[in-house]
Amino acid sequence: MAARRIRINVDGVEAVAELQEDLSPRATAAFWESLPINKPLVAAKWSGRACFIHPAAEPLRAIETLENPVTSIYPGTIVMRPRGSEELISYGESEYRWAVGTDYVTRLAKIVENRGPLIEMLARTHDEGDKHITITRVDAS
Amino acid sequence: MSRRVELEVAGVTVTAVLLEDLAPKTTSAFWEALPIQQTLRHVRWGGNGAYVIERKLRDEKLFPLENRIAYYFPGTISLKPEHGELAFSYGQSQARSLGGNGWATHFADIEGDTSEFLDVLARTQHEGGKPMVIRRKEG
Repeated sequence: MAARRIRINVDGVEAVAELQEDLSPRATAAFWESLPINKPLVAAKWSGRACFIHPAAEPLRAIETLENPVTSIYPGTIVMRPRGSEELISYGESEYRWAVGTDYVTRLAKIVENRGPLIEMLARTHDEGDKHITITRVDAS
Repeated sequence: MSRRVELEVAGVTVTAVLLEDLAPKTTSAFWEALPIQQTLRHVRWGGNGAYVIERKLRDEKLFPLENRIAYYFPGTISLKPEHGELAFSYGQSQARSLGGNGWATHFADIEGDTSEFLDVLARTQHEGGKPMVIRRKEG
């Protein structure tokens, strides 16, 4: 079965991502239930070239443990912390860190269409401040 | 008498005193680099802080670091000479980079009521970069 897809829009720039259901079945199911997302997107201050949404929606708060944990956040990848405290999307070198050091996250989705323009828009948060992000389901047709 | 500088950003001006006894090489290079007109941006790795890149201060002669610190206290000014990076903190903040924890030279302290200045630093996370001027305070 094909992976479920989501549409990401940041200040008018759109991309499509596939959920990483094989790696993170519980987290991606909760993420799908939490859609649509309509929030400010803020530049990260501990994790490098990434932006975050804070806090995540209610279904993700029920996910209390990691799945296939990673620390690096590859560009164009969406990840989440357990208990839904935040979701991050990277535009360059990024590692999940906070005040006390490096921590682990669960991968949720990877951009598969229009990656470059979206990454350029994410990078602009460093100079321009907050952007607005919407994430919606791409329904299978 | 210690030399002082003025920092102006987003309509807020504060004065900082240079720590010439603790960081003589760095304060001298900083003084010679003035005035500095650059963009103040929020840090990506270091937490609750902001930074300015001034290429004139990217200088291997500023090693070894003086008055070395790893944690930035609010209201202080530090330099990472490998990047020419002037670091300002408004809360919990460290001299971090892609490679992990690092070190910096703490060479100046902001004087008086710093609250408005620290608020401007914090706002760079949500509002983006802001033009900043640092100049000598004469007299």
